Amino acid sequence: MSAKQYGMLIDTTRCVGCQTCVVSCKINYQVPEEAYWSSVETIGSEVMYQPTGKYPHPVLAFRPRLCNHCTDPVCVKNCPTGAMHKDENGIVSVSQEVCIGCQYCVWVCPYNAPKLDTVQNVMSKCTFCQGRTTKGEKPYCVESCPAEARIFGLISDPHSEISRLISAKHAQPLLPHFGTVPSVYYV
Amino acid sequence: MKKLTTSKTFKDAKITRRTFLKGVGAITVTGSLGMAGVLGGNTRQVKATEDAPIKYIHSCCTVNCTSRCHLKGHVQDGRIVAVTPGLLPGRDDYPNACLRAMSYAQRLQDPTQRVLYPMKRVGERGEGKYEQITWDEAFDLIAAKLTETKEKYGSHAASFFTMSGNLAKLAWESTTRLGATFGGTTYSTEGLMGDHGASMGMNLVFGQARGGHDTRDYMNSKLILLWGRNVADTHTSELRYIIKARENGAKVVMIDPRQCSNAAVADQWIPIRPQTDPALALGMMNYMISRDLHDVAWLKANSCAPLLVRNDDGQYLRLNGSYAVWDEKSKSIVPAGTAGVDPALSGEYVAADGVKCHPSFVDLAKEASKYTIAVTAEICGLEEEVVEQLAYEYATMKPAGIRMGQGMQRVYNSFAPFRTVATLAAVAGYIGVSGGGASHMGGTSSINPIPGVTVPDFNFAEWSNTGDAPFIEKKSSQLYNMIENDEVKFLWIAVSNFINQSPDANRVIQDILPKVPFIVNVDPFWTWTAKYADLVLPGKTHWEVWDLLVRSPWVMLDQPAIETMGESKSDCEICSGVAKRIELGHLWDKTDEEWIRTFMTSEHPAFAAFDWDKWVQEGIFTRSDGIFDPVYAFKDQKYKTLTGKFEFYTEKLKQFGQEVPSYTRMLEDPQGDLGKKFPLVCINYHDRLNVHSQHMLYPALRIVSSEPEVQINTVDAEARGIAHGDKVKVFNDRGYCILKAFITEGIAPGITAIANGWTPEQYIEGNHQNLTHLTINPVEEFISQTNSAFYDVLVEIEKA
Repeated sequence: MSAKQYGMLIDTTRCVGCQTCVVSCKINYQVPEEAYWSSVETIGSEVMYQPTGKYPHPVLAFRPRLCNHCTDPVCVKNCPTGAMHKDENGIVSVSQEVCIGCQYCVWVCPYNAPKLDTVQNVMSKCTFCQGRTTKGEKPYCVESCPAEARIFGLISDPHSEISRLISAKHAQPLLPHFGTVPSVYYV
Repeated sequence: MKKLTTSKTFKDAKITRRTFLKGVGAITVTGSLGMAGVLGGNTRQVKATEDAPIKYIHSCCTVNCTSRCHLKGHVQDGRIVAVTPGLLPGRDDYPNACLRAMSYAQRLQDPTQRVLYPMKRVGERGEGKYEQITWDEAFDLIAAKLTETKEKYGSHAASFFTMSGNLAKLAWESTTRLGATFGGTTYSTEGLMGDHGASMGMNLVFGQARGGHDTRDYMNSKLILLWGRNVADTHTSELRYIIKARENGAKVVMIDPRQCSNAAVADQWIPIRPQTDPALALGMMNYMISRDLHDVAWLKANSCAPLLVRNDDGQYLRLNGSYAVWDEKSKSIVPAGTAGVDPALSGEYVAADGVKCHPSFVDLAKEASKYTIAVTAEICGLEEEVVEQLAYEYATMKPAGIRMGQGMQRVYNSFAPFRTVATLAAVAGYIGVSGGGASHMGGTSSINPIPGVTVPDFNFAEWSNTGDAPFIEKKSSQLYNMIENDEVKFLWIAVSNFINQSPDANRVIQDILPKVPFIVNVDPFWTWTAKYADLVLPGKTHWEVWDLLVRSPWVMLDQPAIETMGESKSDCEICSGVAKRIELGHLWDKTDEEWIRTFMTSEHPAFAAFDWDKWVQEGIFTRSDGIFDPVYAFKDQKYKTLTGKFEFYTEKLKQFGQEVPSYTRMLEDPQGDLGKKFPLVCINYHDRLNVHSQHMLYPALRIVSSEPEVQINTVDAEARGIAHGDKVKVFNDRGYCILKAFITEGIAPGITAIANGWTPEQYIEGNHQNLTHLTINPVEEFISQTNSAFYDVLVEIEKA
């Protein structure tokens, strides 16, 4: 783990699938065209909002997805130009003026996180709202969640609130077997 | 380290405009609507640069969900680029800004969506052909039409109709006030728009239309029933407290024909059939009463239960003008409220004049007794075990709170659901008890009365003065009839997409509106309604005007955050412009800002610290008498009913056989004759991405929902050979719509659902309001007015 690593804890037992997180990111960053930097999935279902199981006892549950800002990011490893990089806060970012839009990063990412900006033909992605968080503000998706399902913080600090809650709630990362050491944890 | 450039590139003006243009494809706005000139460059080009500073301008979201959120607009180069939650002083836990608020701020800055200039119809109504005229021409035209109407038919023949599209003070009230100053006809709007059943039900039992528990009070609940109330989508600011209460150990049960968003964070989903909520509540009451699980002491002390009712006419027995009870101690009939008595809840007694009488609770218990677990389960379409478990848990997991929602009252006999469910809470003794209640919307007045202070808190005196003209207010339920009877010669529609949000659109378009000689529509957007108006005037939204919204203990300010779109004006400015031409200018001689400044000149001590400049900067003023701890209604057990008690027995409804809460079958009964032809119930619920028609299909929301869909259970779909995503026709004798099928296990068989708010351009064909009806209900007209039974609708579905 880098000296400093920001991460997120998402409590899916609080999620109602409203996608306010997705829309706040899309609108507030004016992400162009069809691209969204984050998403929500209906757990166990291929169709959004379609529950699993059978009436009268179907199960409806949701899981928000975003870039996992991995400690060992395969997108960075496989980027031929060096556009994809990991910064001193552990945030994985793309330098668009360097990126050639080859999309290797998408193909290797277990989370399908980088998104093609179809206007400029370069990659774009979740920045963990570093422009906001460096000012002490929460990421848009955290601040806008009406269920308060998300916590953002320093997972590299074992005494931080997020580290304490990850431990207390036995939160787990998604798809850890890909070995990228993701920084987003789920309850 | 290389510098990230995302913020720069994504704020390129061209990209923004491309996105806008792309979004327009689904909406039939054409050059004839006045867009071409705009896109040709009449509107200032949006060009935000990375260096332009962000300034923050606050606003209150004034669309009609229930939350009224304080929003923080991030404004760059005169454009709102982001929206985040605004602070709520005293409540650090409470700020909220949902996806609707964010997308609305974008939609209103999209010139292709907006009405930009006064537009006069040149084609046929509905055809969408308009020509741009000047404001002077528009005002002169309206003035001429109003004068002509008044001279020929009397001023009352001009109607001024609003719904709830903008709930800020000036926006919501200006049109009604113009009607009042002119002597025109105005409308109490809740009936037609379908929220009035809740108010009627509340009024019957509580004596007031609203009242409930602060959502935080559910931290004291063992069980929470969300009864027809999808808090997650329709009162979003409260969701977090439901979740916290659940994590605190309360069981959360969602009662809804659909497995709605809130069901995802509930412990149980109870898929009740539409309109059968009163039956479920009566079944639960019967379960409690027959097992002595009801709260006898509470009923005796705080409800009408012991009050004696005459056997002969069903009216309350009076003793020298007082209500009366049977005292078990003295074995005599004594005036209600006599100290030291032990009133009976059962039995039959004989009054002095020989009239037989009985406690009103006898009638309630008798009505409830029809609803055994088996009968209730059959009616509601539930498993018997589910009904019994619910009844048992509600009676024993004390206290249990109920949050009621309008979802259960868009039915025929719409007063019954809230009335009956609240009575259930009373039988359990949960009314006025922390953690309990049967709440309609959130919270109660969160200010402290200051002893001895009699001055009004706001200075509304001048605004309230509407001059000498008679004030005429009619029931909105009668609007269609009045128009058909030639009583409406001029119709002004504002803050309302009237056609899209009223029942039976085919009737409205083919039979109702053609009888109105002249229709004015004020709206920021090109709605379905606008296309049937003779004159469409460009209104403004809450991000563009001076206005205020009172949400005790806060007063929130709307102020212009962006440059004027086209030549749009606020509702108040438009009304003022007309008023000046019909000799009413003396009642409309202030600018919007002057009105707001006047309203805030209060001598009330709670406003002592008010400072205009601070208010403009922060967008919110907090009264010094604010209460920030959770409050709940009826703690004092005082009710504004005739009996002064929680009144489940309504003597004036004896003539209709509705003296106690009861269940009646649907008007359009799937098990009746109509059900043979149209076997499926079709409800139009309120969804996550919109409040009514105001947010539909802003491009950023396409990921949430990109087109209308009809939700249908797998068994009903299979029986009709329908696969997920198929194009289907939903129809009945009134009309049809064509849209995609969404097959789900999350809706009860026999029930279908289409989200409210979608407009015809977004359907493949038609609209769900082609399926609905306005059927005047005599009992509701007697109580107050008919509530549109949007969910009391039968349809058939076939592949299209």
